[in-house]
Amino acid sequence: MEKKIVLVSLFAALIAVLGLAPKVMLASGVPITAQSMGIMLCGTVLGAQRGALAVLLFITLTALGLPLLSGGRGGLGVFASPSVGFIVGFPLAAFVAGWITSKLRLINVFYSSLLGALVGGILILYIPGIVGMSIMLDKSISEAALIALIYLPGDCIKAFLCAILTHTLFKLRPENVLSRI
Amino acid sequence: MLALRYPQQTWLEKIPASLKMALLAIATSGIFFIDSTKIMFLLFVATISFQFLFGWQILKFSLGLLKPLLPFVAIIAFWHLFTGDLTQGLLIILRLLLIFNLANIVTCSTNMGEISEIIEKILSPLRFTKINIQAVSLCVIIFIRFTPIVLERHKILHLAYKCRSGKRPSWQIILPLILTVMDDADHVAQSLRSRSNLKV
Repeated sequence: MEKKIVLVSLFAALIAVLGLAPKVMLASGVPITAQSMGIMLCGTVLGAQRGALAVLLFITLTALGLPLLSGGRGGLGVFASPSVGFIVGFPLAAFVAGWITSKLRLINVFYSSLLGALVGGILILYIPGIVGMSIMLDKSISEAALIALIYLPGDCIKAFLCAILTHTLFKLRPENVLSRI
Repeated sequence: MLALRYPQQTWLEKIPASLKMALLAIATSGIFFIDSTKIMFLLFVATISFQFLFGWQILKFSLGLLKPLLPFVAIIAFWHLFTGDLTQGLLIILRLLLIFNLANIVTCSTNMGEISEIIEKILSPLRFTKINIQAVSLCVIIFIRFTPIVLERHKILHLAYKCRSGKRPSWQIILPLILTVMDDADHVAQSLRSRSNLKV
């Protein structure tokens, strides 16, 4: 119980710190931060339930007013921004990423976490994300999807890096990749 | 300090958080029914002027908080420039800035403890389920205590990588950071087990 509480809290802190890391600019000019990779990592490393709880804690504290999202954003204002759908979808994304990684135990951890990060961190996350953008920007779903497409290359890179990190962690300390235990 | 607050005290902080949150919910819902760009512009100017009443420092701080919206403002402006419906684009931009600014006024003028009390009240029905409220409080305390520590460790790893390679690190320092977090988790969990009386 104690270990679970501490892991959930410390991974929530890790998501916050990854959001404060310097941005990387893609060739398209779109900046990417490591924060959404932190969401994917919560799922692929901690597993579905613990990963989703860590993300839920992170979002709750952001809503309480801590400037934890990338760019120092926080407070209730983020729930009134076009990214509201993505923020609300974060726990679900971590849950699905963790669930897929733990269910595919028979295949190599790199491929299972890559699939988990791609499905959870992109496919599942983009559904509420696009709906949120559509409502907040007063656009149709297809128009909002078109706008969200600019983030897709960056998110694919993050899913790939998440798989590399989970795989390396599994090779170094298999007992720490809780989604595979 | 790990909190989003105005740089100086205002009388807004004396208003109960529940009242501010209720007003914010009503205002946010009402704003979606406004179709006139002129009214939306006037409302936005009114909120900015309201913040100016508290002084230049608070206005500057509040305008700084709107910066993360700039990429979205640029996308909407470009989109509506392309479709030729600039009035609609302006209405959406103003609505976005107005709601975001109102929510920031409430966040920056409310004590984190007060918002936390409201959330506790909202979550109180969960006491009848299996959810351990004590564990939730402990999670919050550990998070607030350890975020600055993890951040400091990130800075040290960043500096170490830069010194050794001469390049700026990006994802390379994430794995060592995760390993240190895992080590911390072991130590903290052990301390909790020996010192706390957390009911399992």
